[in-house]
Formats: sequence, C-alpha cells, structure tokens
Amino acid sequence: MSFLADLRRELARNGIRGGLARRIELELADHLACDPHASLGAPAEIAERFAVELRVVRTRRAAIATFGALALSGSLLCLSVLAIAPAGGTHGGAPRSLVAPFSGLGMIAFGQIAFVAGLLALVRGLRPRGVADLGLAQRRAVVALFAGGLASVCLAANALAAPEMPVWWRALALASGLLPLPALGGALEATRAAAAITPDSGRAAALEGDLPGPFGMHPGAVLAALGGVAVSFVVLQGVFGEGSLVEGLVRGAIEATGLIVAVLLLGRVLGLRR
Amino acid sequence: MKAETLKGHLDGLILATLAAGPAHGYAVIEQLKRRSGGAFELAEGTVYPVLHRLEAEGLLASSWSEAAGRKRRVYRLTRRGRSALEGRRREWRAFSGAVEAVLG
Repeated sequence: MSFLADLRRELARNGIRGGLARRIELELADHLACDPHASLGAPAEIAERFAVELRVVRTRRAAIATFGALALSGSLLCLSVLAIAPAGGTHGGAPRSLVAPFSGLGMIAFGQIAFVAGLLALVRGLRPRGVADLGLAQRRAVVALFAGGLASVCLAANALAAPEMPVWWRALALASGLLPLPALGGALEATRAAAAITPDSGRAAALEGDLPGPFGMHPGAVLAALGGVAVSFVVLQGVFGEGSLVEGLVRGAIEATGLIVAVLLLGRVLGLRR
Repeated sequence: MKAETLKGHLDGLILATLAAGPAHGYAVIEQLKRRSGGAFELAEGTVYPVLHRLEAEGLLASSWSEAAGRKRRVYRLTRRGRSALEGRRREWRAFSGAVEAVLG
C-alpha cells in the first residue's frame, strides 16, 4: 500500500476525514513530488501529530463559538422577557393551554443550564491541561448548546401560545427564539469536529479544576454557595417583583429543587462532581 | 539536533522562515534545513501539523496555487503572526542571553 493510502487510513483512524484529510494528502503528495526520497516519517505518526496539534485549537474554537451562540440566544431571550412589560404584561387568569406555562418554565430552566454549562465549557476549553480536559469541555459545550436550543424553542413556543399579547411582541419573541438556532447549530458542528479528533482518555478534574486558588480546594462549598445566591435572587425577585412573600418562597423552592435535580442529572456529565 | 530539542521552538522557527515571504510546506522545511546549516533533524511530515495549527491560531494564512500541474498549499504570515514572531524573538534573546551568561 502506498504512503498516501496509508496516510489516508491513519488520518481516518484519528478522526480526520473529508476536506481536511484531502488537503493533507495533497500537501504531502506535493512534498513527495518535490522530493521522492523525503523522510516524511510514518503515516501513523503524522496522522496522530495532526490530531494532537488540532484538537486543542478546535476545542478552544468550539468553546468560544458555543459561548458566542449562547450569548446571542441569551440576549434575545432577555430582550423578549424585558419587552413583556411594555407589551402590556402577561394576563392574570388561568392559561388557555399548558404550552405557555411549561414553555415559560423551560426558558428559565434550560436558560440557566445553558449559561452554567457554556461558562464551564469556556473556562475548561481555554485552559485545558490534557486530553481529558478537552473531552470535558466538549461535553459541557454539547449540553450547553442543547439547553440553549431548548430555551430558544421554548421562547418561540411561548410566543405562539400567547394570543393575548400584541402582535409586535409575539413577532419579536418568535424571531428571538428562532434566530439563534443556526448559530447554536454552527457551534455544535464545531464541537463535533473537535470531538472527532479527541480520544476518550482518562478522567478530567471536576469543578476544582475550574476554580482559581483557594476556591479549588472547596468545590462543593462553592457550588452550594452559587446555588444559594441563585435561590436567594429568585426569592427576592418573587417577594419584591410580585409583592408576595409566599410567591417568593414558592419560586425559591422551585429554583432550589431544579438546581438539585440538575446537579444530580448533569453533575457528572458537566464535571461538577465525581 | 534532535526533534525533542526543537520542541517549543518549532513554531518560532516556522514563523521566522515565513517572514521572508510566502512558501509551501516543502520550501519551509528546506529553508529550515538550509538556514540552520542542516542542524535540525526533522521528520518532515511532522512540520505540516504545526503549519495547520499555526493557521488555525490565525498566525498563518494559506491558499492553493498550481505548480507543475499539482495543487500546492502556500502559507504566509498574518499580521498576528508577525507580532507573535516579534514576541518569540524577544523571548529567545532574553533566554539565550541568560543561558549564555551562566554557561559562559
């Protein structure tokens, strides 16, 4: 088998296919045409070198693309939520269908998961200390992107399920829900391209690997403190925003339950706990 | 000089080679050998992954050209690449000066 055929096989074995593999082949074919006796090295060694050199850059790029897409999605979601009051606010009575309350809840829950997972993906993607860290950053990015996508879809569903709202708000919310989807899809593709050349190798440090200095010594306490801040914020928002202590406490309890469930379900995938 | 010794310096050497002008992979490697007086023992195929990474990092740009009926990828330094090269030159001068001062 020729050097180039061997190289193609080894590139594929390392997850490098399609246009990039073709380009590498053409470059090395040109090299061999310049000097048929060139000491290029073993195809397996070259292919592995490509994967090693590119996986860090691709993961960093995917983490940045993920955070950028989520920032767009989050900004549009916030814009739509902030526009509810000028649009006349939500009506008081019972909802006509379950879509509105569930999509509203989905926006909040998936939005928070996307924010946390996206931030964690960025932190680990920009400072990887090994192949296992790259894998963790990619997993976090995938969770963030799916959660961000679901939050956006929930916003669009909310717009469709709110006939009592003015047309301009429904159009704004629908567009805000649909516009970020291509960006989220692009970031997912970038993450997939990074994952294709990253082997499943070892176990990455959990949350302690993301926290600076002394915070890294107590990841559980930091996680609990951040959860406490989020729950307190929701309680205060309920108390002062709705003028009801009971409403604040109920919302806080829902937030706390959601956080605990999220950590239990996604904690290992996101590297929040071992 | 073994490849292991070159580790950590290859990026700077490639950037310096391309500072003279655009070149394809084979020409980069030939220039590296020539300008080093043949001191570097490179597995030539391993230079290409570094070229690809430097391009992905935005330090190099590349485009296809045609030579003797073959497709050829030509690399050139970007503005960021020039600035990175200057940084590496400064680092190297400081480092080699310090080592020289100690070794005598």
